[in-house]
Amino acid sequence: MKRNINTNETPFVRYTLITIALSFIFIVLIVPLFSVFYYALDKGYDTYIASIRDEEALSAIRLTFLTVLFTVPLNLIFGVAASWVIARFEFTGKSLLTSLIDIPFSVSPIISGMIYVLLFGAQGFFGEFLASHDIKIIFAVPGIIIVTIFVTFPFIARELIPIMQSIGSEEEEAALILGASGWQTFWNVTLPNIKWGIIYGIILCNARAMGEFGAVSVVSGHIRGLTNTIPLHVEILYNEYNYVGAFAVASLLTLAALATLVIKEIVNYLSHKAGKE
Amino acid sequence: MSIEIKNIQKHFGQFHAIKGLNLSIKSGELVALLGPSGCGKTTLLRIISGLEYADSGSILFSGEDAINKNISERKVGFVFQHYALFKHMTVFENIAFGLKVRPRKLRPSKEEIKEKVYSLLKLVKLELLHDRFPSQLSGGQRQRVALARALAVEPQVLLLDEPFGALDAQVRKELRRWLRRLHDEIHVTSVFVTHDQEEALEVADRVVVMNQGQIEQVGTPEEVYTNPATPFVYNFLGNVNLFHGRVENGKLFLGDKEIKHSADSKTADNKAYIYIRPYHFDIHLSHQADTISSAIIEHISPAGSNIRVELIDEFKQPVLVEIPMERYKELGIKKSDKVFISPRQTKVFFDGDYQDYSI
Repeated sequence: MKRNINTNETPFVRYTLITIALSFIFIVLIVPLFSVFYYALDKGYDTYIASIRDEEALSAIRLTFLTVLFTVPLNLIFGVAASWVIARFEFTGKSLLTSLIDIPFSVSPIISGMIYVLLFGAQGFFGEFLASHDIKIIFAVPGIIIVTIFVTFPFIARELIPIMQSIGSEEEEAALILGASGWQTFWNVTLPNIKWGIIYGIILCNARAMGEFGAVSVVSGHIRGLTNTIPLHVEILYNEYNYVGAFAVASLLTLAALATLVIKEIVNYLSHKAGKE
Repeated sequence: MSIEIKNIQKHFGQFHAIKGLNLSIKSGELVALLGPSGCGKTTLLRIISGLEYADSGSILFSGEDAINKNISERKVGFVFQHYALFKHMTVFENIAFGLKVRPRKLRPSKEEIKEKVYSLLKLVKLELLHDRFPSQLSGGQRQRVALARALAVEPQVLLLDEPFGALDAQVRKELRRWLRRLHDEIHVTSVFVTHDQEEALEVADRVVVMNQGQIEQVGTPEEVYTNPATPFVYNFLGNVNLFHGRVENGKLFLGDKEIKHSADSKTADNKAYIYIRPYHFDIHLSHQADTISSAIIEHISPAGSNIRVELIDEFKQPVLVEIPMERYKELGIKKSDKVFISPRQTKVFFDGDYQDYSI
């Protein structure tokens, strides 16, 4: 690479900065990442597999997937609808809606969980009603799903709003004038244009839904084999000094995170390629 | 199909975009809506198409009220300024879209669609590019795809928003001649929006000059150009020099010189605005009977068949004059020379007619 002497720093400054950045990344990111797998495999491969195939671990994995299965599609529908409304229409309360979408980002997850306990818990706002109809939300699976939806709900909307705004509505207007119905327009014109944004948003939403700890911890009640998700299960194992078990289960989340990272990069690459065509 | 526009009003918040506008367009006509940006021409086009709703007023298509019809019932074709082609579809798919989205009963068969698309591709001379994506086309090609796509649904009215706005000068000229020929061929009632007077005058059967949400003048290109109804139209169509004169005892004065003019002298003492086209001036080396001012030459642009001479008159105002090449050679003028300018033709507006049209 050619270097312009007038605009670039001296080699000393550059190498110092590079060294600082790289060692920081190494200590804060790379070493912990490897330590997860190191401790997980500390007592050998068989123990590792056994920890994962433990009944409670499997139940936590199932619950996590169940949560994702509800969270991602619901947030996808909400995200597309919200970004559509915000990008396409002018209405009173639009800026309020835009900032409301960000609330889960700005509120601590513990507090998000607390809110739902106060709403649906035994002493909560809807508590009596729920108890009399024998519906359990808090300390049960529905509560876990609801708080996860709350915590992850900005991801897809946030991803789509700027994309929809930058695309504009001309193509949609063209489709309507050519006689397409609203649904045909959405399906044939809008969706292909926001496809990559949706995929990207789903990846982020999915990653967070799997990894969410704070809010879920408040509403779950930590009932083993029933209301423990993977992150909660990791904590329980760790608190019981079962380090190998904790790291083994944690390694699953780490692998999922790494996979997310790889898929994210692939999506990024593909969408840029598609954009250039 | 004829279009009748009656007393259309449109506000955007506080902004009064269209102020009670009336216009009738005959069947098969090619009409240009001409005006500066922000004059409401695009808004009017979008109201005709149904993309925008008017606050009040009515629009009749062939005498039938269209204001309550939704977009697809109006049977209009619309060509967007930036074409709005479907990026992820090929040229073929773009043109076929309007036919493919029809309800099953009205949808042509695959073969019919194919036949229709290829005949349109032939019409716009893009047969070989049917499998390209919009991003692989030049601006002029995209424009023609957009037009073919709009024509595929056999619209009764074709609306074009700044159809040549995004093209470079050469392609622009070619395409507008082509559009004129195409219109003569297919004869669909067409309305296009432009801010380029040359384009409007060259292509359209009739020109509608708009300003600030109202119509200033409607007429054939010749009418609006040679006989502008208002000072705005005079200003907007072609270069023009404005002189501030006054009327005294029915006589028109510029400075202390009386100026002959054709307007009747009923006007009471008043301010007068004298418009003179650059090519209605002659330059003389000595004072003539009809000289209105002496002037110093500032700049001469000797390109083209007419020579453009920029001068500063005795009121310290800039004046633009165009004289034929032969006349220029005959005079032998150069920069900083003092000369005398005489108009062959003037157009005078009096105070009440005049508004400030600084754009």
